[in-house]
Amino acid sequence: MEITSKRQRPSKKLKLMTRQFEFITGNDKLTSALKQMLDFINDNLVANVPAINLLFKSKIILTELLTNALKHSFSRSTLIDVTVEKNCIVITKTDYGMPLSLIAYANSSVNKIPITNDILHTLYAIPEGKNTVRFGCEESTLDDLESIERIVEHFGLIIITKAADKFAYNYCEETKANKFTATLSF
Amino acid sequence: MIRIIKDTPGHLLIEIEASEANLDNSDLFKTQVTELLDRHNKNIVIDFNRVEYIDSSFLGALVAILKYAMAHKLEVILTAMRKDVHDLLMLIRLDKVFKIYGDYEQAAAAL
Repeated sequence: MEITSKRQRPSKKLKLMTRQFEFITGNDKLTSALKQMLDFINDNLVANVPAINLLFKSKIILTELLTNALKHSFSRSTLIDVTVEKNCIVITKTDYGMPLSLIAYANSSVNKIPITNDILHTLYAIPEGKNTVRFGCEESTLDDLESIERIVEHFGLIIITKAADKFAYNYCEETKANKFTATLSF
Repeated sequence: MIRIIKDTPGHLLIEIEASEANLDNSDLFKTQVTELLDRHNKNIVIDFNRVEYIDSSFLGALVAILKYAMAHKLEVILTAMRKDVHDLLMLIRLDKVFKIYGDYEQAAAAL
């Protein structure tokens, strides 16, 4: 995996910092890339925020987005944009290729698209405009621990959905860009 | 990937040797632990002290191992997790289905 980054000039008016990291899928480990991103976030967090908690959540979100890139990306290149604002961190993963199958439901009249359900969580997506969904998660009642064999073994979406204050997916038909955006507010 | 630390009449204590428990080694981990369950037919205590980082792939492997053990009436107990790893398991509520202890002595006492 090759890592390049591009620092964008911060807007004094908006007080935000953005950096774009490009990953070329290869055989390197994620940890060096992860460290660069977390260092960037840490360096740009304003004072008096819960930095340890924000860095923990950023770490697990980035880990899952990067793991997803390795497992499922249709393109060799994956972009990760990290923006640190005065009151939030926004992390966006972009790759190019086929959209998630969820998009077929996103543009229909359904209110909630079920994704997974087990004794721990119900994971779903809510349509939010054309080709856009927001992920949501509810904790189940744990009233049937005998059903452990039904626990879903795929935790990536659940981790990001629970760690982030908002997690959304958008597909752009023109550019074929798949964008996953996780927002941490503080 | 794993090393047997202790083999008692009732359980095995194994240690994960990797510091990064992720997509690269999750399948191997699952294979090795299920082979131990088959071969020894004993409860397994897994020591995480070396693991600095864990991802969803490895957590999926852990759950698969738990299901396999339960189907064979065996237990899988987790110990010596670093705070970040433990916090991630709590976030996705795996602390509700795994027995997790601070160290091996506590785990062994519970078996």
